[in-house]
Amino acid sequence: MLRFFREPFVHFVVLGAALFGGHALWQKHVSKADRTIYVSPAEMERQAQIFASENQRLPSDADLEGLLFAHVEEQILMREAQRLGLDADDTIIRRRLAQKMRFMISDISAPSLPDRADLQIWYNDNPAAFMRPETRSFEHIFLSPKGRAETVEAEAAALLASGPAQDWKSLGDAFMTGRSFTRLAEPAVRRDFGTAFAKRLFGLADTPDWQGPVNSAFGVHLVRMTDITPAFLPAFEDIQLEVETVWLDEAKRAENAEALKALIETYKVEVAE
Amino acid sequence: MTKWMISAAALILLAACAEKTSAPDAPSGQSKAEPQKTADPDGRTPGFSATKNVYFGDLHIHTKNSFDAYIFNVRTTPEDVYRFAAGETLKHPSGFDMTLAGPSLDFVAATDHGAYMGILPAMDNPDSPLSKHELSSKMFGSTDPLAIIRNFQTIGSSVRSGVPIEGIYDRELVDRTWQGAVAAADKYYQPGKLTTFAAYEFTAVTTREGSAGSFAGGNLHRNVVFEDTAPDRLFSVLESNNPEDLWDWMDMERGQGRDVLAIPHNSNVSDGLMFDTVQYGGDAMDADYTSQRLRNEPIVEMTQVKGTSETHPALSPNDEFANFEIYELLLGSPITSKISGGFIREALARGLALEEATGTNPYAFGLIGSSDSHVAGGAFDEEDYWSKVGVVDGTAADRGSIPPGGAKTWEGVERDINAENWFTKWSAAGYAAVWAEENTRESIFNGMRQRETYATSGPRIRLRFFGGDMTDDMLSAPDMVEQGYSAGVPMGGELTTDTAPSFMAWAARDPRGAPLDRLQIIKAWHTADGPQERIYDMACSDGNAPDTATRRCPDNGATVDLSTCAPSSGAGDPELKAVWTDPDYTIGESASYYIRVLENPTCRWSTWDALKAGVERHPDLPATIKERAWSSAIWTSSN
Repeated sequence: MLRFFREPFVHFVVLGAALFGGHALWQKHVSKADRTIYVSPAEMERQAQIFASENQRLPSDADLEGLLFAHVEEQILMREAQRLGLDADDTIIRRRLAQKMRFMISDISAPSLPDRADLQIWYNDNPAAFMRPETRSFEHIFLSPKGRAETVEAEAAALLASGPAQDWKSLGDAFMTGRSFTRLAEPAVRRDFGTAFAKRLFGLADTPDWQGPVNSAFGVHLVRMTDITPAFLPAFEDIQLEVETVWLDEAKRAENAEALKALIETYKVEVAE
Repeated sequence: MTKWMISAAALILLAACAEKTSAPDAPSGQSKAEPQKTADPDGRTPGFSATKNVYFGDLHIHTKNSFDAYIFNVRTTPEDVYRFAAGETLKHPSGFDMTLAGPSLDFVAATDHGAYMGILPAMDNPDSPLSKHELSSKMFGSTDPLAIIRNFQTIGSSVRSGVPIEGIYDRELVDRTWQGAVAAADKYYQPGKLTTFAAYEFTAVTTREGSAGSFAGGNLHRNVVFEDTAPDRLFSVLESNNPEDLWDWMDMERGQGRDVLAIPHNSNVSDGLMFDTVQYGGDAMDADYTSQRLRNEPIVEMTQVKGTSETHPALSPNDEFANFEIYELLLGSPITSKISGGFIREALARGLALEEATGTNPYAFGLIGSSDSHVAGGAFDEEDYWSKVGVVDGTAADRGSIPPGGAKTWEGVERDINAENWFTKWSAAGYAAVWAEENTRESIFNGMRQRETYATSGPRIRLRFFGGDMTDDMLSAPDMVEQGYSAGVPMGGELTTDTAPSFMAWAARDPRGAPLDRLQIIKAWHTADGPQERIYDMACSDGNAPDTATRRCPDNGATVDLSTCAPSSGAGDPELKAVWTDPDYTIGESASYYIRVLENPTCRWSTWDALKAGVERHPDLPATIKERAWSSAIWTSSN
């Protein structure tokens, strides 16, 4: 493969030797590893390949010389920067390296599912992950403040005092999302009525009587509870797939944390006062 | 273009090495479970309503299986799309967390590009034979930004030309990836709670010569959405990039009992071709063409991250709200797209002329919005925005809303050309809103087919719209909605009348968003002089009434404190509703009417970015926007 690079490669080696032959003079002062730019055959091939794909032709001798100079220059500048410690305080380099390592750790392996019995034990030990939130079913009469902002609360209070009867569905104003709601959890109530109303609603008593007035983002409401289903834990059989998914997520997270911890434990951490 | 490519590719490189280990391409190893049906005894899911509920969703989302997402370091999957929609948190390729700020979505579809679906992950996977291809090593083995981008462009150019690359286009792998995407949609479908659709994007592009040998693309993409079951093999631009061939294939699929519709991509940069007056090949439209188009494309995407295509100030000089999130540059280029033919208001008018000529209105479409996110989750909120591409626009500095390099002001800053041309002009995602009896595939798909849909620019504004014999007393009736349905048709419907039609509209604010400013009805029709339009304010906030001469509400005085993004208090209404009869109706005319409802102004995403970073905001970008919703039209014709 890439046979055409073979020959240019010879040029690199010769050229490289000529350019940096004099480096032996320096070796008295510095360690060999610090002051040697070793240009490997693989690196040369890579450089030539990039050149070829960019320019749609093979590099000439002059191109090769240019590539080699540029590469050597970059290497030298990088090492000098490292020698001066410029990399140590560079947030971008630090974060990027840490992120690279984090990805490496997190992709090591995918945990395999435990058998059904073990999964059920885990489910029993972790009910909070599968709890269904409290839901409320309710009906409401909506009074829009349009044209009666000053009096609407008093009107609502009066309506409550008079006790809305069978015809409650014809009282008040139409409400965009309807008059009856079934088994809504708090986020769904927030979505339709806003935060303040949702908070009030989930504090209202479990009685079949009209309650209120309750204010919302839209206006004033009288509310009647028709059902309160407390938070509950669904049976394992009904949600096995969900349990599997959550278990896999958790296992992966735990494995990652474990791998990170193992790494951390090989370090001694000192925090100065 | 070239300049952008360098900076983009540099970022890719930085992060590409980090995420080398990609997951296998096969769908997850978990056994496919039947959707957990939670229907009651008469087959209805909880929340069923005969007068319909509005459901909010996103029908335009990409994952790592799209060629132009994987290259920008996206590694999330179709399953992640459904998790995000259900409220779970995903990682953005730039490293931060993405979570829906509002409630979870009601319906959603992952729509990866059909062409080369799943191919790039395989090219980058050492275990796949595709990784041994020369192009793979050039794209994923190289560290040279220019080379990577040029080689990646080989894929893009094949998508544009429709000519597959030999040795790279592994049809079997595309089939397997698609089948995996269909399985993911089935797995996450929870009737009554989350509706998912099997879908993909048909990536048709027209090209003009760009500068310096690059291209400039006219976007004719379509999202192809299946109601329930989907075939084992999709139809991509590598079969044909003519949308009419796609419709033939869809007609065939429908014949096999698999109902399907195509949703044209936000049309602003289609180079004037999305709503042309002729067929794809230039022939005049005939009855076959117009009826086939309407059958296959009953709704269009009008707003998403790459801007909004309601209308353009050049087309609607008398619409003071027309200059809203306008984006005009052809794909991958600094060249301006042809304006006429790319916007829906003009198309609504054009369609009526084409109906006269062919018997069917090819542009009698309903409206939706979506995200077009390429990172598996849409950025709907101005306050928590991540644009759409991946590593190139993930941070505020990348997308040009704050000065680069930690500068505090824009003084003397040379702006990045790509942020300047593209990312700063993009917007937070829109929503698709559908009125449907219940949250099931059947019900929501039917809502889309009936065009009982609307688009929002991001907030979950509720909007009802009826046309027919509407009267003022209905507005205060407790059964207003029932009366609306029984006295006429809802949005997306058609009316036949010989007298001035009347309409009833009702908008309610998003409790998380801003109060409403005004409700407008917009009439589009066609005469010998060409497309016509007129805007009427239908209801004003704060007790105001429209001026009889200008037909406009007075300014309600709402403002935003730009140092905190806090809105002024007191102005705006939680709800607006009105009945309106066309005062300028001419006997015998055909017209389309749609609703636009405007919120009080709020901070644009770019202002939020700057505020959060504690720097000067970009002086040339709008500081605030008036978020809005647009209904599908109601069409009227004479007997």
